Amino acid sequence: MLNPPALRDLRHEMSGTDDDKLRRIVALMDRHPMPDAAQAILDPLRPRLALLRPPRPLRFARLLFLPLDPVIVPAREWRPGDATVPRGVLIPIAQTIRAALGQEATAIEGLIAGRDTKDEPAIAKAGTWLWARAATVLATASAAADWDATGLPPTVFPPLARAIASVLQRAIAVRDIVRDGAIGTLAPNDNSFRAILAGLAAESPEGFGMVVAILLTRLPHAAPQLQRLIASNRGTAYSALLRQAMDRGLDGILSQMEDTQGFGCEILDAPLREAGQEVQRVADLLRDIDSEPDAARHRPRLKSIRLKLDRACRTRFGNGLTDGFVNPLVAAGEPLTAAHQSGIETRARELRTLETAARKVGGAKIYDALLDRAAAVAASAAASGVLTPVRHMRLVEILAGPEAAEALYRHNR
Amino acid sequence: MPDLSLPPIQAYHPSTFQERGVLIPFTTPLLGGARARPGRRTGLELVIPNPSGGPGVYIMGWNAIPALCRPTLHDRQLSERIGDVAHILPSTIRRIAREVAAEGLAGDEAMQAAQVAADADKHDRTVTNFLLLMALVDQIGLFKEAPPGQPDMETRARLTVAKIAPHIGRSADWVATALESLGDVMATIGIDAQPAPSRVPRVLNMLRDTCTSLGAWSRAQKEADQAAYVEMITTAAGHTSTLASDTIAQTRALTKNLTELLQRWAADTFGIERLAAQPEWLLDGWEHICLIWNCTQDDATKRAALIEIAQLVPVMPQEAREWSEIVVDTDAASRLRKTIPLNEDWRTGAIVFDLIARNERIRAAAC
Repeated sequence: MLNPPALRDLRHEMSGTDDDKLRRIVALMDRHPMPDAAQAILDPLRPRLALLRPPRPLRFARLLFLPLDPVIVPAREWRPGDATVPRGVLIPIAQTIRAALGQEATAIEGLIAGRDTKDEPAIAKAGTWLWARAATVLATASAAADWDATGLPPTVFPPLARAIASVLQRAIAVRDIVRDGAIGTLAPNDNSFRAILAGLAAESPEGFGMVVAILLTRLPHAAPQLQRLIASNRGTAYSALLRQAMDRGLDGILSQMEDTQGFGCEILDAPLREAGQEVQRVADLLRDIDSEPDAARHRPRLKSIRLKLDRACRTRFGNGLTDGFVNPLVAAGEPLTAAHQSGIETRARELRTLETAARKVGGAKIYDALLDRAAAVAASAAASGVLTPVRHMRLVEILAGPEAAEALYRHNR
Repeated sequence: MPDLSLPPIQAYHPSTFQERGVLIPFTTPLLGGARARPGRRTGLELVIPNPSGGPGVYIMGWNAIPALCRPTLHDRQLSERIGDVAHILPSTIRRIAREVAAEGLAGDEAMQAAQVAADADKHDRTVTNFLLLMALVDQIGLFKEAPPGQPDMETRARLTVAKIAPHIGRSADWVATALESLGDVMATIGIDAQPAPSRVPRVLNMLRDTCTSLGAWSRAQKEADQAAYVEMITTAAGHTSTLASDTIAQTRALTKNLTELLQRWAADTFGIERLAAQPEWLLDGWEHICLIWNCTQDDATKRAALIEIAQLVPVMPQEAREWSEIVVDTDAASRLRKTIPLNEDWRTGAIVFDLIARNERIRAAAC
């Protein structure tokens, strides 16, 4: 174990390191035999790690709290009664659950051994096992002996544990509805929404706020579904509570977007594919908020957020176009391999996904100009033999549409 | 879909397979599940499932496609070439689709798959042709007592063909050509002695595997709706599978007496061709369904695929009852059909690029 000055020096050194080196260091630390010690070294770098999103080993505590990710905040930002979870309580609570589950916890750890946070099937399988059981434990648990280490009074534990239990109890249902929403084949299902929220207000007011905030953060069109639920319960205490939770949730989301870091990790630094999905989600959310009956009070905030989002989209699109499309084609000195072509087609599709969503937020001209530039680069690559005529057509089709590709097809015939 | 271009939703109860139409492997998401069939007066008609998930279909002229959506370059070429076809058969559509894919318009993977599949079909034809010839030599039995390898296989075949030609009332050349044509007709279903399954039995195996996978997945789900969709899909697939197996067996049984088969071929070539095409008509559209299911990774994508598939399950026409003595309740799947709450916008907007890519992967796997 490092002594405090050595730990300080190491952290200082790591804070100045570049992104790639930091990813490698994280991977190395994640293999450390004492994960808690490694985590202590990495803790100060958490904001940067949030931006880089390296895959992390799927450990018990990480899996346990995945459903609560959007409502976990730094300990200093947390106040009792907030619909959020202070980061400092995660490890003690995880230990309480691990101790209560005994052999089952060991079996779950066996299931996730060697898996990471990008492994969706492993998360779904182990999560299905863990979350509901953890909720049952937390519903009646008392603070563990090491709770003092959190710096929070023991009275904080019961309401926080019940709130977390309420979220975990619904983790699978929330995960399902969020995934269904992201795929988009099914029409929004108000019944599933109702089932998730049923009984929640009586269980735990903080948990109720957390679930609403998680739904608003993750689910496209959650706002209109919540609105419908409020309208159908008009005049009841439940409706008022839901309204309050929704207002708080939206306020939190808008504040996050207004934050200087807003859209940093979600769009600017995210992989192109995820950035496109995030822009789509945020654009839908902003539109839904704007369509609310009392949208007027949000409008000044929405306007500045849209401008900020628009800037983030343009920057991400420009960077993605240069790094993922233009540079590889310009740098290729010989005909592309099939794998290389497939990769560039994937980037082109991701760019179009991002651009299609981004046009809802900002002007079209910049995207038209950038796509024209991309098409011109593809034409040069075709002229120099890097792209075959049909591969050139494919890229033109993705970037400029099937009509442009058809014109090229007929011209080449 | 722009509402202005759309005709009213119509009921869809085809009584014949021709009327059901042939599934066209379009890659444009809005054209998913579209079928081509002969028009009432002239040309072809396009049959498109109701995009809302409700009952019924849109039926419109073949030329209406560009007014409905922005088809991919692949689909523009595919529809243009299909538009020139006089008789729509599953095999014709497969050939044209493969030609378009072979140009690379659905991507490198589909292009390579089209070339591989063309080679595999050619191989199937050669093998079937050879096996038919060997079966004929065995059945006529001119060389039962001959020492092994004498005379050689080519001579045995030539002498056998010459021997049976008078019984058929045709020349030996005609018989040789007829056997080759029969090989072509039978190649997709293969004959009993075939070492590896041909295309149609392969699709049939895929359908059975998909039903097993659907059933296993469904048993682990809690939602009653999902179990109902799986029941509808697997019921229809089960009936299709039963009838397809039976029609394959019927057609293969003809090869037990090749002299008689050649006589029938001489008298009614079209009748034999029609019989051999029945399994392919029955299975039309199911390979696409299996491949949609195979593209899924987790429960959420399976749920979405299930809803998509439920829309695409081919209706079993009454004509199927004339093709087999096995009685299946062809209306069972129709009774189990439900109105599915589809998100009408799911095939448009930013998601469209991912869906085209998936459809191109399906094209590659289906070639």
